Parts: sequence; C-alpha cells; structure tokens
Amino acid sequence: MAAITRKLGPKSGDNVRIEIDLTELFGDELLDRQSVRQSLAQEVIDAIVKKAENFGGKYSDEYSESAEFRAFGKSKSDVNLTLSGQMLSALDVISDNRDKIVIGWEQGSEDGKKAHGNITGKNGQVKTKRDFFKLTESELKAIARQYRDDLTGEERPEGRTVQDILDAINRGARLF
Amino acid sequence: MAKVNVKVNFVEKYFPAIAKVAADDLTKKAAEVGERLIKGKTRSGNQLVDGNSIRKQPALSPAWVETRSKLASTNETHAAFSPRRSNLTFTGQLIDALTSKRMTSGRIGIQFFVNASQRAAYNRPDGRGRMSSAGLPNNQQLAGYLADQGREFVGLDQKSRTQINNELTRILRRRLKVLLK
Repeated sequence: MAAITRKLGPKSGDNVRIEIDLTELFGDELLDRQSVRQSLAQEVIDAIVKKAENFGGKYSDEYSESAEFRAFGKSKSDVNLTLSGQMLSALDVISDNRDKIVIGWEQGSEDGKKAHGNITGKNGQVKTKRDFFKLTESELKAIARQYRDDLTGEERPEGRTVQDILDAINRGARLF
Repeated sequence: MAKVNVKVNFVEKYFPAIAKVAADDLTKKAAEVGERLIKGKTRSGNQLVDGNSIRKQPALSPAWVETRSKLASTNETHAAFSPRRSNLTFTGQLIDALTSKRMTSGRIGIQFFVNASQRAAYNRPDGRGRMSSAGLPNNQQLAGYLADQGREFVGLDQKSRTQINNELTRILRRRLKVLLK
C-alpha cells in the first residue's frame, strides 16, 4: 500500500485531494499528537506549493497579454501557477486524525475547480496540463522521518502556545 | 476626505500566546500579501471596498479616455495601462504609493495606506516639455480625491482577507514544528 494517494474526481472541482496514510507511514505507532500531524501536513503543502511556484515553462501569448497578467506583473517565461495566489493559498488541511491526513481544496470551491483544471488540462479540453499537485512516496517519507520521535505523548511545556495554535486552526479562526 | 487607509488588528485578543511568538512573522506576511493583492486587483480594474465583494471601477468618461490616449503618446505608461481601462493606472505612481506599516499603538496589526509621496508631472501631449508641477496633489491627496469620486482602492475585499488568513494559518502550522522540539 502506498502512504500517499491522490484523489481526483472526474468533474471540475471534484475531490482534489491527497490522502496520507499514517499507519502506512509510521507503522503501528499511532500519530496521537495533532500538533505533529498539522506540522507534517503543512510541510507537505509547502512542498506542493513550491513545485507549483517553480513549475516553469511559458504562458500563452493570449494570457500574457491579458489585463490581469500585466496588472500582477507576471513574467511570460515563468509559469508559477500564481496570479493573485488565491488558488495555492486555498490548498489546506481538510482533515486529520490518528490514521489519515487529507490535504486539498474544499469540494466544489472556485479554487478547487481552478486546481482541477490545471492538473487535468480541463479534463483534456486544453493542451496545457500543469500537474503540480503531487508528491512522491520518497519525498513524503523524507518529511515524515523528521517526526518519528514526536508521534506520541504529551505536548511540551510550551503547550499553551501549541494549544492556542491548534484552537485557532480547529475553529477556523479569522486571524486577520 | 474619504477613507484612504485600512487598519487590521489580529490575533492578540483571542490568542495572546500566538501573538507573543509569531507577531513579527504574521504582520510581515499580512503586509506583503495585502499590498500585492491591493495593487494587483486594482490594476486589474477592480474596486476594493473593505470587507465587501470586489467590483469593477466605474468606467472612464469618453473625454478622459481621449486625454489618456494623448498623454500616453508622450509619457512612459505602466504595463497595465490601457486608455479605456479604468484601473487608476497611467504611469503607475499612484498605486505604487500604496504601502503598509505595523501598528504602533500597542496592538498587533497592519495599516495599509497611500503615502504622501510627490507625484511626477506628466509630459505635455504636444511634446513641449513637462506640465507644471505647481499645485499638483501628492499621491495621498489624489487617492482621497478619487475615493470621494467613488474610486476607492485601499481596502481588502473578502477574498483577499480569506487569502491572507490562509497564509497566516500556514505560518502558525509551521511554528508548531519549532515548538515540538
């Protein structure tokens, strides 16, 4: 079994997700600490965003001459899947529990649809496919290795801050 | 004069422990993303009214479109300029004057505002040198005048706020790794 599985629904915006099987990744040790799961998930998100931002290649003439393209000062010769940055910023931790972490876009969201379109080339309707939403098994294991000693147990004495952060994340708090 | 700045406080009220450890990172990121979004979305022709949905800037009058076309023949225009595009952009100096600073009132927050930098006078459309700079409003005064005319741009629409919030949440998650060790 793979520790990382990508789910991509057939329709635009459908189920654009990556599932990380924690049992597969860490064996029988259960990942009790949500702080560790959230931290690991963020590293996975950061790795995927980095792939997107460094995707490379050229934008079409039509797009690079558009008002929005110029407004955001983008470069024609540097495909980075970022105009305002909204799509990549919406890549989030959908859920996390002792067995599994799910990362992706909210089902049916505008940004999920954009991501789906880029990954699949609008389901084959356009030639350009920009499949940035992936991580290899070995890339995931390299990230996970750093957390092997932190899987279980109590939060550290700095727990108040950790708990505040988890509360903010779990409650979907508006930080801004 | 209409509002040309927006102040945003965050986190310390509900999460003092977070504010203590991550205020610098949070304010820096909010400033960076906020400035980029306000500038890019405005130059795309949008009006950012704080806290609301985004909407298009009012259309330009035919007379002003003609003036912009004439001025463009003798002035260096911004890449996002087009005579008909209502995006508060000709040379780009007004939107470039949008900046931000961390609030100093004891709160943790950011203020976005248009600074009072002096505007460069345009070259005359007939090619005979520059127009007079006497009485030329600075960028802050011009932003206020435009806002009074219904052309606001210093604001963060709902989507921008959500985007900044997402970025700040990521900072907090990254902070967890440091706290684990």
